[in-house]
Amino acid sequence: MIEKDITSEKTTHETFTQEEYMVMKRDLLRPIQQIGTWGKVWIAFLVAVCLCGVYAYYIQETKSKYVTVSLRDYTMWGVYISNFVFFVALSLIGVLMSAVLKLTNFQWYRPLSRIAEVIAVAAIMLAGISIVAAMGRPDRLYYLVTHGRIQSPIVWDIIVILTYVATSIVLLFIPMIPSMSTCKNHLTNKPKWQMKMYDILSFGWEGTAEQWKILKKSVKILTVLVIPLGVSIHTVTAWLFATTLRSEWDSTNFGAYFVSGAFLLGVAGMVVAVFVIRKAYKLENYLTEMHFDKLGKALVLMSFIYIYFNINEYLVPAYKMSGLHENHLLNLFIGEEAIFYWSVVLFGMLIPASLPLIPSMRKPLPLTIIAVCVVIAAWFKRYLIVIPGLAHPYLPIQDVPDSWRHYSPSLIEMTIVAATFAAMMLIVTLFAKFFPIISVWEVAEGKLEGKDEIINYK
Amino acid sequence: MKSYKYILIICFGFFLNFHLWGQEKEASMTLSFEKADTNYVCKVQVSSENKPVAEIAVKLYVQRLYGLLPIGKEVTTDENGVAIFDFPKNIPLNSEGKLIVLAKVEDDENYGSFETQGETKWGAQPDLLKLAHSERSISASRGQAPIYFIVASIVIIAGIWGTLLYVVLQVFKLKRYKLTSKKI
Repeated sequence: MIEKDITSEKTTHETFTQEEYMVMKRDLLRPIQQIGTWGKVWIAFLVAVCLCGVYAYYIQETKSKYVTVSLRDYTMWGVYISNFVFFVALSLIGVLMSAVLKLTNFQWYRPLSRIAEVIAVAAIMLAGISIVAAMGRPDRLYYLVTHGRIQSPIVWDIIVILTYVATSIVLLFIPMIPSMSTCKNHLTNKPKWQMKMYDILSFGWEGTAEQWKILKKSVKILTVLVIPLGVSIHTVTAWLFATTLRSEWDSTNFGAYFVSGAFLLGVAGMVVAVFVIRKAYKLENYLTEMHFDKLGKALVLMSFIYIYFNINEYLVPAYKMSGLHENHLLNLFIGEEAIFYWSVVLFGMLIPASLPLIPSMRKPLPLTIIAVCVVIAAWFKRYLIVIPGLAHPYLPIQDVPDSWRHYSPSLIEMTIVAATFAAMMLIVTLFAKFFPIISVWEVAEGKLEGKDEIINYK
Repeated sequence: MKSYKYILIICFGFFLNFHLWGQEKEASMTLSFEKADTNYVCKVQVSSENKPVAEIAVKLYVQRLYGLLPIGKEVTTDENGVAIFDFPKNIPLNSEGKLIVLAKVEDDENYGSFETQGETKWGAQPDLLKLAHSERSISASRGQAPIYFIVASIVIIAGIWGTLLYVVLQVFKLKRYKLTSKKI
């Protein structure tokens, strides 16, 4: 069942032998076959952080919000909402790495697509959890369904998140069906239930021509579907802000500004994930320096696009400096949040736009360091979008306790945010423990179809 | 020594006198509603020790859900201790069909702050039925969304979920081709 016959496309299989294919299978199934001590420690750590988050949420829901969270009348949206926006942005990684590259016939996406899709599924789930944490009471979600108005952006957001979760899961799962068959046939010493799971999830996959045809067609449909859906989800998230009457969010640029930021974060998140997975599972032969080189170039491109939208978002209102924007903008540029703001500009835009232009900076380690800076800056960027503007309402803040004027997240809030990050990493880690984190058949097919690009690069 | 005590007692007496003299006097108000021609007026009578209190500033409010709605500007009582307010006819009545009206004197130098309240049925009965069946618009209630909006939403949602469902059904078709076709 060599993939050369998967489609009627022309292949050059003579340079990719059955033996090479078996070596690849063994390599890519290794993370599932064995789990080391460090792997167990890592999982235990993530579970512990998640449990701390669950306990913090229990405290938040059972005690007064006034005591447990720092949200007040003015800053009524805090780190939960900025965390939500961050995770929604991160979830666009699947669209970029899987769908866009696939449809534009770039071959280097192949070992990255499943990593991107699982991160996308995990991120969008955690985005949903962040918004439930922000709601204060989980039952409000039910009332949003039973009493929500279809005209409200919050209802659109719920609809688009649920749709994106479903699409991302299906897009992750369908290309995994041949891998399930591979797991079923090649994994040994695994519990019976796990083998049974592979058997059920392989849907009787035997690699027949008709089965390949159905699979390819389904993946193609989903690939086309997920692009507008991914763009919609982040645009609707931007509209949650832009449809309000608050001056700092009153922008027609907001949807595109959010989407461009999400693509930058997506590439940076991908670099970090690829680096960690490559090291942890010793997959250097599959996640090569070429991938870092390509991702580095993508990082530069996305940074420049994001800088362009930031200029539109900040410099145009700053040029006019109207009364409504003045307080907020001056606070960011030279006021209380200036160090924060300029750090985000430096680490989140200028550095990723310039350093990866140097070829040596596109090597795995330097690029990962740059990407980590971008990811951290991206989280704080969402913080700066959501929070400081709330402290500058139209009417001056008067006769309120001092704690209402400033917001700094409480321990409970930070624990829940930390738990969402741990949960995201836990989902990716557990996924890699049960399913091939790199799609065997997609890589093999790529080696056959795009051998020049994959093997003979540089 | 004795003379010193007398001085102390006299000083204390003066202090007590000044204190009592400087203390705010008690006053009270009564509200009455009258119809003068086509206008409605609210009269506030301020009195202290059964005597009218003139030249005292009175404010009038109507109680709303989250606060007090001022009715006109403050009015100073005349020599009869009466302040007259023109009362609007279009304030929406509460759920019991009434308005709670409050008259307040705030920080008067002689009488301090005091208030009284009364009820009236002068006002407009909100047409809740009309509110519920107002025109369809983006800002209307859940049941009054514009038709084009509902149709567009359903078409988009059904299109996407329909495609998803189609793809998922394709997966279940995989088993059908398990043995019937030639294995590659």
